[in-house]
Amino acid sequence: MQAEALLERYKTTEEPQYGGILEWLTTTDHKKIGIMYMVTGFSFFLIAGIFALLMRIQLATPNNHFVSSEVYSELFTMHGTLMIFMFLIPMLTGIGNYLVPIMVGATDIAFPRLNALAFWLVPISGILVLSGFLFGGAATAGWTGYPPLTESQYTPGVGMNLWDVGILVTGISSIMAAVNFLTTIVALRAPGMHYLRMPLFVWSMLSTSLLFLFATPSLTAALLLLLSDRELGTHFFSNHGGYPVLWQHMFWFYSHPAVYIMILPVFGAISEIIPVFARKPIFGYESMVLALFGIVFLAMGVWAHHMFTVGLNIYVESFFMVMTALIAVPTGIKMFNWLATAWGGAIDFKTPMLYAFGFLATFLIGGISGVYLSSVPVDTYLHNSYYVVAHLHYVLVGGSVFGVFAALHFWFPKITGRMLDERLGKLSFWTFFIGFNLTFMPMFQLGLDGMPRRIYTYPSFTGWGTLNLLITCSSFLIAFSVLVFIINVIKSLRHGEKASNDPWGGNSLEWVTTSPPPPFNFYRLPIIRSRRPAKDPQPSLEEVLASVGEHK
Amino acid sequence: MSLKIKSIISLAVASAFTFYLFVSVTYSPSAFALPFEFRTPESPNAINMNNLYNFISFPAAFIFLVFELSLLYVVIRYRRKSPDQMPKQIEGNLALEITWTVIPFIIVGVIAGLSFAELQNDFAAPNFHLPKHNVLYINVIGRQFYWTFDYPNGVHTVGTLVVPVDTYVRLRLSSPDVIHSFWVPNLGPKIDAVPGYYNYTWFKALKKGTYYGQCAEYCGVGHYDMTIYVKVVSPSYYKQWMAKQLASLKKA
Repeated sequence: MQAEALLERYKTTEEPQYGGILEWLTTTDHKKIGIMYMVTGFSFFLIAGIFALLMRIQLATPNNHFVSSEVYSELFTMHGTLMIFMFLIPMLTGIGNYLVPIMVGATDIAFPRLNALAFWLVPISGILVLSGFLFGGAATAGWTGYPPLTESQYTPGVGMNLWDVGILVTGISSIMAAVNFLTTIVALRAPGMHYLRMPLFVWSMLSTSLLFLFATPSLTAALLLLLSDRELGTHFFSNHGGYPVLWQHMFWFYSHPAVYIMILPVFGAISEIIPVFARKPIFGYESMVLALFGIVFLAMGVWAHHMFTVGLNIYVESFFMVMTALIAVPTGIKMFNWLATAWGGAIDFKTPMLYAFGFLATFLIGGISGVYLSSVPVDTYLHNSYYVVAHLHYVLVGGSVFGVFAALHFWFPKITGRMLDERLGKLSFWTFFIGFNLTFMPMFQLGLDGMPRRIYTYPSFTGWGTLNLLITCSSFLIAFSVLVFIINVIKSLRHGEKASNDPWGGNSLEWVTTSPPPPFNFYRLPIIRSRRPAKDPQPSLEEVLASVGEHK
Repeated sequence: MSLKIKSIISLAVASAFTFYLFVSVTYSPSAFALPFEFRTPESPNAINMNNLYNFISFPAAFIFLVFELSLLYVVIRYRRKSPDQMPKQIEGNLALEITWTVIPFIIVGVIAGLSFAELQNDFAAPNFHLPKHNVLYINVIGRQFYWTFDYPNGVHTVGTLVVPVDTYVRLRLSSPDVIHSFWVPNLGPKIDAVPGYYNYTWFKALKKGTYYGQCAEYCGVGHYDMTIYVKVVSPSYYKQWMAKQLASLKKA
């Protein structure tokens, strides 16, 4: 009786103040905010994906004029900008937002209102960036925005300014999120959750947050200086007494760590998924943690490998070459440890595990192509060619996006209380995997054959037409796969099989609580005695309620 | 067909497929005949870069095959056979971890070392160990959206650079407007033309012919059309061509 009354009290005090849309607009609950981050990110993924399909149609044949050169520049600029700043970073922040408090045994993130503010800045910045299309043209200088091209003399128009301010705003949002993650992890761990018992996903969000804090201010400063050049007549980066290469240093000082920001949470997710479906603990937990910190440290010191053709001194270039080559070592350790985790396991290839293996197979290729690019002499051939486009998509799509889909399939039951359809999941995986490889593998060849990046069209005598047509056709297979995923989500939200607390046999604390979790995450502080607390004996809900009122 | 035979066949097919993909990526010529053999290096620095690329392909292929084939093996051999199957719970293995830390470290170390040596050999701007005489010094300007070439005697060409075969050519590059990048794949590295300072590169064309290149740094709506033709001709042809150019210069 006392137990039931207490449970009723929990329910009414934690009941949302408003209903419907107003609840979502005003919530500070990390779970709802996490869901909003994910939905927002996914929406921008779809927009940027459509831009990619339009680009591919333009490139399908030589001397094509499907869109104008100006529009094509808007497309590749916005594709990159949206995918990085409005899809991957918010999506991974959202997954982290949802899971980190639960995984450490907390009831919410450390600063809930800051969390809400950080979220709402994302759709605002996305709208700012996209609104360029309505005001005389969106930004057109690539997501990298190199001056002097981005000075007002060469790119007049407000679209560039909107791009600048939009990214500035989303950068501030990410710093807020980083502060929240770090504080939660340091200060809100439940009793028993020692640092070296934390799930690797939590370690990866900690590492990512450090990168956000160290790197983002450089981008913010660069964007402010560019805005000042454009609007206040300063000459930081201009060709009238300015130093255009300074932008490149400041931009890449952020943007290289940014690519690690986009992969480390995925590394964390993969480290959670493989052990569950292989029924073995992660191989080499401590090395995995150390490797994360090795990557954070090295990631801050490689930025100029994006600048090997600007005319830097060869000794300076050599420093960056060595640092870049070294980063293959901790990354390789992680890859081999994942393989070793699966080796000797009893593997069930449910959709999350398929995506995890797809990640391993394709991220490897991205990583190996990165080693070619790290060599300065080789890079002076490959830089700004389609080889780089292939490399970056192998790591960002083969790596990050496959990881995102693995994570979404894995945690969908926990977040929504419903299972996704396995057959649709397998279909979406295989079409994505095959479509992805057929789209991006030929781009390595095109780069070696001299095709530069960001070109609107090309002459037929180059011979680049055949592979470009193959690539365009294959890209629609990727689009089909995403459509299958969307259908799966809609169908499963309505009719999916109800999910138990622990449908996969998980290891971390989110699998201890209900699917979805209650507003306060746990009915009682979970018992944490190991790295796999879901496998530590946990009291049932009845036992918890029965023990209420006893002073133990 | 038994599961075992199916597994062996799929393993063989998958290995062949991934091997084809990998080889087609790393080795020239491409499967489709190209009128311009872009990948054939025609200058000593380009040859050295190409050799370095090919060298890297050995450890790259090794790691690729070891990892991908292991992954395939895991997919076939370690599938769950029964709902309650619980494998051996292994937490780690220090010897293995040290091995796959040290071996990659050595591999990237060797690659970096060879790359560093090549940087000293062919990339030491502005003089590049070039001989003191018989070097053709050309000033290159990249601007929206064309390249111009200025010869020491005042001759000026647009879009096409005419040089004699077997002659060292040193280029000095800059731009009056935005950043461009000069890239002729057959003739060596690309190098940016940046407003505010000079960059340098060199080549020595070993065979006569016309080599094609394009701007390789996005510079605006005409970026895709900023083409470069390097016409490598015999010394006698070059003399005649230069005489004609000088004559028309004098007339103007």
